[in-house]
Amino acid sequence: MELVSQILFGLLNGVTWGILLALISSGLNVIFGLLGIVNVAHGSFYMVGAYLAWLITTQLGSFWLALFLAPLIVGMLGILAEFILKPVEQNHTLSVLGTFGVTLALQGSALTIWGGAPKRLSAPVGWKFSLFGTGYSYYRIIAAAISLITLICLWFLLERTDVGLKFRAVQEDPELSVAAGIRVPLVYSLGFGLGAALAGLSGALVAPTVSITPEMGLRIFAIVFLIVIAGGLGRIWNAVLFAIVFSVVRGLLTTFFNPTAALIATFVLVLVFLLLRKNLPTSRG
Amino acid sequence: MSGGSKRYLMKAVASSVAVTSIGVLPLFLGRFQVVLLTEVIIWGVFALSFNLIYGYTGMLSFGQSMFFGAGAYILTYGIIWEFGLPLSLVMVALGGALLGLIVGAVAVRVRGAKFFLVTLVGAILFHLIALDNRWLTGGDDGLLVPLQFRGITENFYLIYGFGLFVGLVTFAIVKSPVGLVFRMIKGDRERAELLGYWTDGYRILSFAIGGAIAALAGGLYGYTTGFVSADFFHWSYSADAVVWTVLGGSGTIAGPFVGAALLTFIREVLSSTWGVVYPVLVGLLLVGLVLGFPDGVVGLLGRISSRYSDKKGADGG
Repeated sequence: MELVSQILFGLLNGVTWGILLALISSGLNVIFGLLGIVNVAHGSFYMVGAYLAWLITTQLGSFWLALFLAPLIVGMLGILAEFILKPVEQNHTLSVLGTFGVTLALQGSALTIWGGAPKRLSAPVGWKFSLFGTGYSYYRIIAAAISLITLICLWFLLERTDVGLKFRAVQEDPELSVAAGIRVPLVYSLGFGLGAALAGLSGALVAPTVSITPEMGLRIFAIVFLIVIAGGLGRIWNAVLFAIVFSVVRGLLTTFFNPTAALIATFVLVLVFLLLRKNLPTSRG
Repeated sequence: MSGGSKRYLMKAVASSVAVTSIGVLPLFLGRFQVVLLTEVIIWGVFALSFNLIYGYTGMLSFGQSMFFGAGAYILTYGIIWEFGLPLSLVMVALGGALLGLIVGAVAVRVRGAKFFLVTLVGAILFHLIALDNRWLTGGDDGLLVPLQFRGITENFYLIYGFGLFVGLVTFAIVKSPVGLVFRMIKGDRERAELLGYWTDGYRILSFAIGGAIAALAGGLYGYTTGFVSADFFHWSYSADAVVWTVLGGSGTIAGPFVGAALLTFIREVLSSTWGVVYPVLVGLLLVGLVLGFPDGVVGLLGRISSRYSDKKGADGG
């Protein structure tokens, strides 16, 4: 009975965290999967989102306001970064280096301004319900629900509107898109901004459940990148499924092994999957 | 004398002068500066290993920290088990090369952005595994390398001679027919493939040589500091190698050393007061380099000097 409840707990935790992970990945999916820009700075956008949530909540007193403002600010930060790196964004190697520079700059700025000591934000919804003998915060459920709604909106935007059509047109054939009257540079700016805003939103959503540190972005980045590639570039629901599988597997392994060993095993599983599935759809270049 | 061989001679003279002046520098420096200079040479060797993979063979790998950490631990155990330094260093090089073969064989299966990701995840995995196996690595707390006391200057000349040796070997490799294939793969992999070269084999070879050099750098770093820990595997060491190489000039032997020296100098100038802005500065520098000077300091100097000699040649003709 003890084991069963532990496994169920691991499952629930895996699914709620998995949906949040899917939201972070969706931003990278827009930037890397749809626009083909390798964005190493994605984790840092997420980190900035979390810090903004902490800052706005402690200064202005409303977490829900932070949830609205953080994506907006991070989105503009993304547009700025894309504007600066526009000349190299089609070159995979140079954009890895350039966005890695952005990562160092953002992480270093966070360290300079707020220091290395972790910041904590109390959950805006305090209640817990008891589950298998332990308290489970309602906030995690709410955060997962907000993520899911955002993902549905994103899917609608990309698959059912003109905006999404333009994104895919630009990815298919930039030259023909110009000929068809699409303002390609604008699409890149907005796409990058949208992706960054999604990272900012997920950072803000996660903020009350984790300790906020300058390194949190780099820690999550590799996982998010793996999910986007393993799920298939540009395919939102595949990535969602993969994010949930990833965190459920990790959650279940954590019930049996120590967290580090569980993470190692999960990484190895994903890596093997990635290497065996050779004919993955890739972006240009 | 033709312009090409004249430039070649100029480069040879400039390199000899630079190498010799670094060799006599400790006579004029304080103890602290000598230690710093020793570290710069080790970092230069480490960045050179990345440069072979990236600058010469065209693979952006974030995996060099795997070899750095492995080299440091192989050396530590070599010293603990009393194999002596020379034999330990041979083991370090062989171990690094073997690891390079394995990692390379996995990594070359994927292309482009996925390649970068696989090497990064490999580096993260090695760090996690090292943290998780305290019985072997000592985890965060690390292990002490049981060493007899050596003079700072003595250690400097050991590292200096060693750096010179690795630099020359790397130079010989990149100028050899094998090095030519490396550069052809960097320029146009498909063409190399069509010409009948087994490009994956050459890429794995590049990884193995780079792995051996990085492992040696890790071993010597452990030997110099007398301490190794699981953090030697942290991928931020890979990132440092990337930044040093890109700043100094990728695809050159001197570049990684110049980059390591410049950034160490900047960090020391900033000292403790401004040390906190160092990563911000490095980040912005990287963005600027990527946008404006993709071939780094050495590339820039080369362009300036070739423009100068071209002008002179034109005047003479």
